[in-house]
Amino acid sequence: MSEVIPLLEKLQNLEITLNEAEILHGDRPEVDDLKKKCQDIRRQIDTDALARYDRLSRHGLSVVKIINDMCMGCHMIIPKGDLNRMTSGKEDAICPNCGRYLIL
Amino acid sequence: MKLKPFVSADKVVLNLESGSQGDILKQLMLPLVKVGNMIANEEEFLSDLITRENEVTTVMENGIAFPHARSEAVNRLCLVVGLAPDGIQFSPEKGNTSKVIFLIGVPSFAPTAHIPILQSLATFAKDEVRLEKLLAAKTPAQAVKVLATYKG
Ligand SMILES: [Zn+2]
Repeated sequence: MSEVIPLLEKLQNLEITLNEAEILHGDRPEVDDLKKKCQDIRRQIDTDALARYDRLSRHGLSVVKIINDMCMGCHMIIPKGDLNRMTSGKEDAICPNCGRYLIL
Repeated sequence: MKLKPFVSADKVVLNLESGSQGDILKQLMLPLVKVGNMIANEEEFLSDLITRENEVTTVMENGIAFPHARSEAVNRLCLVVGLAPDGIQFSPEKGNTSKVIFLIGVPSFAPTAHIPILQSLATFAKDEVRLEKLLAAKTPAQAVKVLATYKG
């Protein structure tokens, strides 16, 4: 599971860039290029993970950082035990509170 | 989105000088460096800005530019307004010169925090009357007033 997160993070970053470009350029060719790049990444991701990502995206970010043990999506502290299990691969890197994918 | 909380006289550069893209970005970053706690690493932020610019240009068709980057080197969402009434070349491959450049720093832990500001600024940039007023600013305070009273 955790190996899909870097790809989801890449997709999220590219989709933010796409959003920025749409704001600045509307429908110019540069925007289409970005759309294609997003589609290329989407094709590399397992459909369940992608569905989950899209569900989370409706409420903001799907993939978030952890700063000082805090999930940057819901701002709750993630228990140290959970974090240890996530980094050692024994537990999926998903926030126990909001369910967002975590960048470890 | 009101721009008022994000604009202040100490983050206005009235007469941007022409130069390379990096030179122009450095002039815009200077107020953030002076404030002290906005940018953790100047070089890293500059490099992230250029990387983002190369991904897809931030120069609008009318020449107004919005260089921005989500960066580990940015501590807080921040905006700098740069004016060049005679126009300067920000992006080498873009024909239009830029008279107004908005620099936005976005912390990597809040990578979409700037979207409402970008939307407001993009709408502002299409309003020629407002742009003229902004470009006529003789002091940073006058420039701030034009942006802070905008209700885009
Ligand atoms: Zn969370």
